[in-house]
Amino acid sequence: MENMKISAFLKNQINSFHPGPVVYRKGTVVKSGDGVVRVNQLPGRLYGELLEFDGGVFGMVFDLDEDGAGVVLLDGDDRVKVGDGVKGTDVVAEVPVGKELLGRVIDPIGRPLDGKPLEANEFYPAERPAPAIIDRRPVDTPMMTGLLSVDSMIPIGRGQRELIIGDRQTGKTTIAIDSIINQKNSDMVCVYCAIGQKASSVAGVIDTLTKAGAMKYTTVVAATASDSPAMQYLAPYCACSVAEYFEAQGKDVLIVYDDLSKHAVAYRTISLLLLRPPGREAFPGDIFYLHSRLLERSACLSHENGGGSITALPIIETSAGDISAYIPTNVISITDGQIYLESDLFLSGVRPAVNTGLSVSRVGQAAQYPAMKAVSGKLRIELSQYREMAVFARFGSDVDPATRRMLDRGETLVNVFKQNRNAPYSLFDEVSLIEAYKADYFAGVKSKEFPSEIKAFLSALEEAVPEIKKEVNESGKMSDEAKTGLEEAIKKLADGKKS
Amino acid sequence: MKKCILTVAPSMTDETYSLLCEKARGKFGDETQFVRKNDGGVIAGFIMECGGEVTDLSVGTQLKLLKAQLQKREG
Repeated sequence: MENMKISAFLKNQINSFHPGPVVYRKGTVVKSGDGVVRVNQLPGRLYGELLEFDGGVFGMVFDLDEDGAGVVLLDGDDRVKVGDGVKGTDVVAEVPVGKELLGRVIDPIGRPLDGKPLEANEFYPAERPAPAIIDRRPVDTPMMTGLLSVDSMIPIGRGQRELIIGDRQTGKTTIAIDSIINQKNSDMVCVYCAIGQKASSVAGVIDTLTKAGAMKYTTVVAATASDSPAMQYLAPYCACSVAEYFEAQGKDVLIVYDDLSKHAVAYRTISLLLLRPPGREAFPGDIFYLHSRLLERSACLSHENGGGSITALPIIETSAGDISAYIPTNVISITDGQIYLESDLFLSGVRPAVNTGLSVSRVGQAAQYPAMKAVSGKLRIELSQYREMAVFARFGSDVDPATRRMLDRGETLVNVFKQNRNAPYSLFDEVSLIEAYKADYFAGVKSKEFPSEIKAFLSALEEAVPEIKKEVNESGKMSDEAKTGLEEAIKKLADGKKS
Repeated sequence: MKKCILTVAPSMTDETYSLLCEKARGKFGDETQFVRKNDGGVIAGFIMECGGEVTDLSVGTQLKLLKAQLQKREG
């Protein structure tokens, strides 16, 4: 019966197929070098269209004029030579999308990199317009990172664009990966886009995600340092299209662009090779638009449009802590806030090395869980005061008891905020730690004892008030009774510690 | 002088090829110079490339189009 059906289907398809001549224009390669090709006698092409060269190599149209086009090759630049023929495909760069991509690693044009076949039924173009104003709604749901310092002081909402910025080796990728891992028990889908990174680093990220059980809801789009600038340029747009598929299904998506500095450099390479006029730091004039059109695609859709969202965590690498460089200032102005990571903090053992003074979340507070909002209000001020006062205390001068207490509490807070990588906290854990800090539970604990102290505290609390933990984690709220219960439990644990 | 590349199946006889060139001369002019390229992927029919314009009347391409149509419908 099944064979009959297949046979009938094929017959039907063949009958409906109307063969005819295929007529098209074929251009000629007149110049080729550094992955950029000049093609003549090929009018009528589209911007961004894929062109097929004689050897089966594909390129993307980047420059158009009356007669020909400037094309960047996606791969195989050693296989294209002057005089080769090239034809248009009438297709702009596109990427496969769908739930089949979860758990997969692909390149920007959708070729699987994990050695398994990929069968996707739907394709989205790499470049898609951002949702219109009318199709959006304000950010109102939190996106928990599982990092205490971030969730309490720089809260991120679903649909927000929060930049992670800092020098190399300051833990930028770790924050992004921890955020992905923390979505394990939520309904979010994640996309990790690696741009211009070492293949070994990408392999490390995939390994971390796999070990944490996060790959089953994550897609990795990778264009490594050995890929062509065109592939690196395409990667974030394609990754965003993958995310937009899930957004269109009404899902909340977290997308990480790691990193946009390298993306800007790839675009600068292409632009310079295409002889476009260089501007500041040799970047082309449209470098701002390069990132603004990408990040504008991350939005929180209205309920009439399915209610999905894309939360973006773009990463920017600074040089010597200079956040006033061209690309960092551009992306800072596009995003809804930034998490600034500092080398000095990182080297002094404060990890995540978040500089709370320079970090901000412009829309996240509106989306913070009430339980967190209720306890985290003054943390930022306390930490700022501590940092200011710590500078003076460094001179070794005697300080009055009130200042001493402020310094001690500040030091405790810094230690409470220290967190191991790939070990996100639940909302209840975060709220409890802040409550414990407020109740001076950790007073007198030495710096190096904090990790074990925190671990013991959280497990003791879980045993003491499991119902409050359940309530807070499930509802995001903490009733007055629960608050009292938590305070009492902390007091009991503190008393037990003293005796 | 115009140059025209005719890509044909290796099995195409010289007689058929000559006939094809004759017909093509009617379109592109008597001065046209023809270059024969054999390609097994053509299967039958021909691909004619002249002055940047390509006319593909090969069975190989038609089969590719049919395959694309089948994949599209399946999806």
